[in-house]
Amino acid sequence: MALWQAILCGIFYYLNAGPWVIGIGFYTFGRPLVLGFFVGLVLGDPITGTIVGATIQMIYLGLMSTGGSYPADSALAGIVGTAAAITTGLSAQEAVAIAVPIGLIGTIFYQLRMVSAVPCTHLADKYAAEGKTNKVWLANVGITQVILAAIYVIPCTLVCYFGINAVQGIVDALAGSRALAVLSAIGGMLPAIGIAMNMKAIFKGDARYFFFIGFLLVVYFNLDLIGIGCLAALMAILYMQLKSDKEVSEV
Amino acid sequence: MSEERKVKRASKKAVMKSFLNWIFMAHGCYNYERLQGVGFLHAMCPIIDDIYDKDDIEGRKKAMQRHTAFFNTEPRLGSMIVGLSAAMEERIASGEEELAGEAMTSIKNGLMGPISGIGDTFMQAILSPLLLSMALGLAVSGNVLGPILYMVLFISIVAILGYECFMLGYKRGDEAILNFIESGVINKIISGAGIMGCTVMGALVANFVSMKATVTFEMTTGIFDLQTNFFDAIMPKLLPLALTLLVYQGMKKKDISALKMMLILIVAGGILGALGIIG
Repeated sequence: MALWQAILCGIFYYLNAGPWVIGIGFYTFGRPLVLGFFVGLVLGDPITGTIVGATIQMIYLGLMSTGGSYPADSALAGIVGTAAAITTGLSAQEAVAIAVPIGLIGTIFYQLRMVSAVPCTHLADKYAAEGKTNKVWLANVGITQVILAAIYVIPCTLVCYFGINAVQGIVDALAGSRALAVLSAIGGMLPAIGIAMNMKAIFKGDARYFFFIGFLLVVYFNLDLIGIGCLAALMAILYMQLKSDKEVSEV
Repeated sequence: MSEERKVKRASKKAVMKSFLNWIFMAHGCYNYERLQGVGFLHAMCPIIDDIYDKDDIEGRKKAMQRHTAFFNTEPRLGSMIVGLSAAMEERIASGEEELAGEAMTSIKNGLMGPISGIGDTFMQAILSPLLLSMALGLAVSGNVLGPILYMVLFISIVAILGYECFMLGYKRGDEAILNFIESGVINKIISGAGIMGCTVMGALVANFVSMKATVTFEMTTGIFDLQTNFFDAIMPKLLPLALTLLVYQGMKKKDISALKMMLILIVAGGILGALGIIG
């Protein structure tokens, strides 16, 4: 990977934490699905990037970050996993197994970010005490974003530039052994966690039956996900209407 | 004679600036001490700047210091609190001093909790997984429209939702917000979307979780393959379904964190894979 490519990867990582994508960096550049495409574009293979990114995305499908908690860093996992797969030729599922530990390391930068911005709140207090409305942007954006960019761009660039070579070495050493098959088996199981995390939030009441309907529709009828989505929306509407009719008739 | 006092209104430009400051920069200075506190102040600045005279330093100070405290909510739905606070600041500047003290603080603190509850569920447990799942269906076969459509849709939804919520708070006030929170409409949307989400999650299990037994037995009648002759004969994708339900049970009932669950799967998969039982 060339240095300019690594730096762009670092910038993508910063966009995930910074405010520039109408405040939803977390929902766009924080998602391996999106990052896979962009990292792939930078490395000259957006199609492979999209496939790998989508596969890594599965583990983080139900990721919830609320009130300053941050269980795993799907952004760093998506960037490094995709870059590793494209430059070393790992399969998407093998890349998933590599992405997981990276996603854990990434939470360090979140902690760093949440602590390093504290002094800026006191700067904002000072501007408020002086009534300077035109200065507050410095505390909220001007200074904080420079710090934030440093926290995110630098380590990600270094990991991409130096780390991927290390991965290449490991992959070469493992080639032909059973280890890659094991990595792939693990990578195939991990999406269960992303799904279970989302189920924790929505798998309740009558909705539980629909989980099995969705499963059976794929296993026996081979519907694709867009088709399932449309069908699911119609079933949800029907269910809600039938249910409110019943509630009315019970009164 | 009307008792209604004339309310000093901020210009349209200032209101728009306030909304943009919030929707972009709510997490600009996100930190452990006040979370979105500075973001909230930043969003209030265009309003305060507009309704107080340039030399009314005292008024500006007081107004700004009302908004330096801890604040945290779901920013998109929560923009209705910012809109409401902007409208309240206009009334305070027009002489309704009684709103300045506890009223402002308790409205902000009272609303941020319920709104983040509803908002986080809607954004992170429903909207994002649903859109991701649809996009994954395209992306996994290498169609770059998957990530592109996801991004375009998400950005548009956030822009519209954030703006409508801001204006709801700004124009219609706290009663409209309370009605919004307490009306059954939200619960209906969330439970309907929960049904949709569950259906799609089930489909994802069949599409993306993979686990195959690689054990075979030599029998007098030929080779018995545990995967094709047993599991697939009962139901294709039976093992991925069982695995997902097991992982769910562990995380929900035994309260195992996602992190621990990953380690468990990596170790279990590593051992079973190395022994040649799955692959």
